[in-house]
Amino acid sequence: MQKLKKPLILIALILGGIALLWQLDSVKDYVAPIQIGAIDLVHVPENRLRFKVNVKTNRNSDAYLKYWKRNSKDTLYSTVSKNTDSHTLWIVNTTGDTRYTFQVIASTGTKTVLSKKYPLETRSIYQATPYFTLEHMDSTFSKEMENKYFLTQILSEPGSAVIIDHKGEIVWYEPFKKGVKVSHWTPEKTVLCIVGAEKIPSSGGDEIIEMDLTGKVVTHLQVGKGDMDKLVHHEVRTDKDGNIYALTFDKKLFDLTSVGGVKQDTVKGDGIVIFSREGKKLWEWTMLDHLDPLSDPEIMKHKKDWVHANSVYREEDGNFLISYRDLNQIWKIDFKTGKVLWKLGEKGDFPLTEDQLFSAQHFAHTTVNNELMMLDNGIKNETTRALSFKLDTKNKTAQTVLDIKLPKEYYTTAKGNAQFINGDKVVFSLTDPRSFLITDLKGKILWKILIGGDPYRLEQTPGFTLNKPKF
Amino acid sequence: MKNVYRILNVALLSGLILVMGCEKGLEDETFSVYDQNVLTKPEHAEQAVRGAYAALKDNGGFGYYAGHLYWLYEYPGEVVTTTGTARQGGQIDQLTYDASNSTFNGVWISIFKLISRTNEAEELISNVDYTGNSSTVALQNQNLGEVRFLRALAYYDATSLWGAVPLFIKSSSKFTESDENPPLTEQSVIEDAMITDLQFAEQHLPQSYAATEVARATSGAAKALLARLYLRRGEFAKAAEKSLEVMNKNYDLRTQAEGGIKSLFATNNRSDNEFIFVLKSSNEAGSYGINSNSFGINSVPWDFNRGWNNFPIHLQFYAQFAKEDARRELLTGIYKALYGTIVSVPKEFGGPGGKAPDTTAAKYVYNLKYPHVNNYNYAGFNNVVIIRYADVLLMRAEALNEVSGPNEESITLLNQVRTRSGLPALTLAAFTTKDKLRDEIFEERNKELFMEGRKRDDLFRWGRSASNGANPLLKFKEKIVPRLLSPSTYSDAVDYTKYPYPQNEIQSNTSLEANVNAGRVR
Repeated sequence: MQKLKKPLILIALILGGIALLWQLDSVKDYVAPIQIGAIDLVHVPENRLRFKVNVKTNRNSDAYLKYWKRNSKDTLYSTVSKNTDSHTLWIVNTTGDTRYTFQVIASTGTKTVLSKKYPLETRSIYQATPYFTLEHMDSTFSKEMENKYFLTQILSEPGSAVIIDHKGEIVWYEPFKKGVKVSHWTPEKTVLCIVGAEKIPSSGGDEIIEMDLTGKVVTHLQVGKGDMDKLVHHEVRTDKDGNIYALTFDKKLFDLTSVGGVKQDTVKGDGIVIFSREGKKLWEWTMLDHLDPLSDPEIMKHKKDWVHANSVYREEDGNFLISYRDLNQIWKIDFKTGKVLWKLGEKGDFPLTEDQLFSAQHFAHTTVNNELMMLDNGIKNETTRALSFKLDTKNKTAQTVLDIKLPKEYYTTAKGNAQFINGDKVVFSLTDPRSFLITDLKGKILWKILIGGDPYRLEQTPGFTLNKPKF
Repeated sequence: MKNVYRILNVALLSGLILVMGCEKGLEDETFSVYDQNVLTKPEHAEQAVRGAYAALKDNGGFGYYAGHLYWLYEYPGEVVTTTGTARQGGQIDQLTYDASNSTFNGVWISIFKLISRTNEAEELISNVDYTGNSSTVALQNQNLGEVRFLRALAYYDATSLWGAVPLFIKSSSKFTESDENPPLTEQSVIEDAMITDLQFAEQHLPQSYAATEVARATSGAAKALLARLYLRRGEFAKAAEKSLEVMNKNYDLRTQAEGGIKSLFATNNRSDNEFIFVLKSSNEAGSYGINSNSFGINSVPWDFNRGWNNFPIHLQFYAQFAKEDARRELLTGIYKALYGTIVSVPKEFGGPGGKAPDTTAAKYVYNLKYPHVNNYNYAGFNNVVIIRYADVLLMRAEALNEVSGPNEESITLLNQVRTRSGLPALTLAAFTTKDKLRDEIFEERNKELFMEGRKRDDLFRWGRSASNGANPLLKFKEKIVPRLLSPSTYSDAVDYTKYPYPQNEIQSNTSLEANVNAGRVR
């Protein structure tokens, strides 16, 4: 027994030594260098522009894909799958009917290997997506537009959320049976939308769906389930806390006998709701608590869709901007008290010149320069323009900063948006003329896409293309 | 020191083996392209479930529950027979069949088609993320319950017909090479799997469905099938208990006030709550071969309304009915033939009789449980009954009698079925022994459930009970030999409880020995 003790200790020491050495990457790299095994390219049937690549490596590693159009030098990258030997990687940025080549890169940190190059051929999209046609690209502008992508949506049925590149080519899409009423690109690189049947009016929907680029639904709120008790409409965004906010349809009983109504008459108005990503209702506000219906002499006519809110925007300070089309006003709502802080526009708190008045405006929001910007549909003089103000809310003065009037042919009676792009250009979504435009600050049209469908909004999607991962 | 050297050597060697092991573990880089499974949503699972139901019928409007299964269940009995010209059916009717009879192969294929669809559906349903797609786990379990019920039903038929059969309870994606030539699995093992399926089904299926989905399996259907299985296994206490569980659900007999048994099989009675599980059939033009059955056109003769006369019924069966028995009206006692003559059952068989030249004596009667509507209409109008409430009542009556002999409840149950058809109630005093009450129950089943696929099972069970399990063919032989064209066709060397495995299966499945049909055919 005594005789055996020593050798046993020795064996234990040696095995221990091996185990210790195995902790060192250099030893592992020497003994079992990182190697890529099976690469399975999976065509996802419900989507022609989305591909799953399953990669097996012999050891735990980080891995990503790079892919490029054949005969092109523009390389695209997937997200990185970390610390596993069984990777699921996604190709989410392709155009239809195109030949690509892709390659897997795997790394243990100390050592990196590349797979062989493999072909990927995309097929044409068969789902209901509209066409986008690049009609004009200013030659001085094309360089600036490279690697720019935009999110838009089709609000008729069947609907879709679509990301197009600067040439108007669809590079990502997701079809829906219902219409996609509005969409928003979140900082988390997800697509957030209001989805609803075409028959729900006023860009309204009964579902809020957030989807990542792989098509995975990460948030799904439905009317009648959980805390969502009202239809939402026109706007869904995330605030700086990552919560989701939207406009709601609300209603309240009022005594309208003095204007010919009944004692308990229903007036429909708009509200704002905030949900957590998990669907918990965190905050709610209704305009019906803050505006007396009798102040509208035509309330009996308007009570079914009174004043028609069409955008809401949560500012850095947590307060909301809400745009009322029929009032030709934008209100600021105090988050803490729910009080209306001020009203801008026709009969508002700020004296405005004739040229500063806006009508049937959309997408009131705050720019990086802290100016209030909107698309002024301009139904009073049938001219649509991008309009922004520098506001002095203390002294209630509004100074026009931006006033880009579009030619008559781009007049849109409803819907749409205008916002800054690249700091010194403005991107427009114009529903009636079915056009997307980018203009400079003087209104010169630099880029124009024609759409075979009815879009509501166009937004840039920063971060849609990924930089080369660093290993 | 020498030892240390040796140990070091061993350690180095094992280290080397370790390294070599790793080297061996490395795979070459491979590349494959797949189309991902398209079936990932609850609606796809729903389609799979519907597809499984659809497999209850096969071969246009003739296969499986739409026709041929009932050839195998009804022809060997003493009630339903065939015309002389029907060769395949005639062999089954006259017990002259062999393994090459195409009916065996047809039904075998239909059954395993249904089993296969349920297996594929089960995997699909299991893989669908219901909750992640705005659906519920309850619906997922319901869908699983539906396909598992159907699988159990298919195996019920398979084991009733053949005893041991291959057992498949996995989808083709999990097949191994040995599954290409599946061996036979003992009947008891298959029955255990069926019980597991049915217990899952009874737990997760709803009690009822919306009117548009009446043909879907309910928990009552699962319980009733379980009762049927327990009864076949001779587990009478369990059968009694399961039948009772069905009885307190939303089923009842169609009462006399509602039109009674005759109206149960009327063409406008599409979803009575006496039906527990049916093969749903459409009466719409063009549904033949898609969603229909062939019983209508096959049940009656040409001169009735251009039927094909594939299920003539012996006059002796007609003679068993009391005149006031409403169930007799589901047989053609007298009818005016296409060409004007009156066809009437002779008086000695209890019929109205009549004299030539106005009246022709009927040679057979025909069932009207599947009324044939319009000339040349191939589409069976009525749903094909698979389980109905009267069967459940009689199952419990039988089971209780087997457990504890003649008893008041068995008589009450029997009387529910009898009085619904206008017969007087029986009293317990009339039945002094278990055997007497058993005979009464089986006679009652015969009159109640003829042409509903129960005949063969019932004869074997009757014989088995009457002989204390010794001779399942006791009653079979007693009943059918008098109906055979030649009594010598019956062979005591043949186990008629088990049909021969189809020739096609023997030839294609290497696990089946050449002598697998020994004792199953003459």
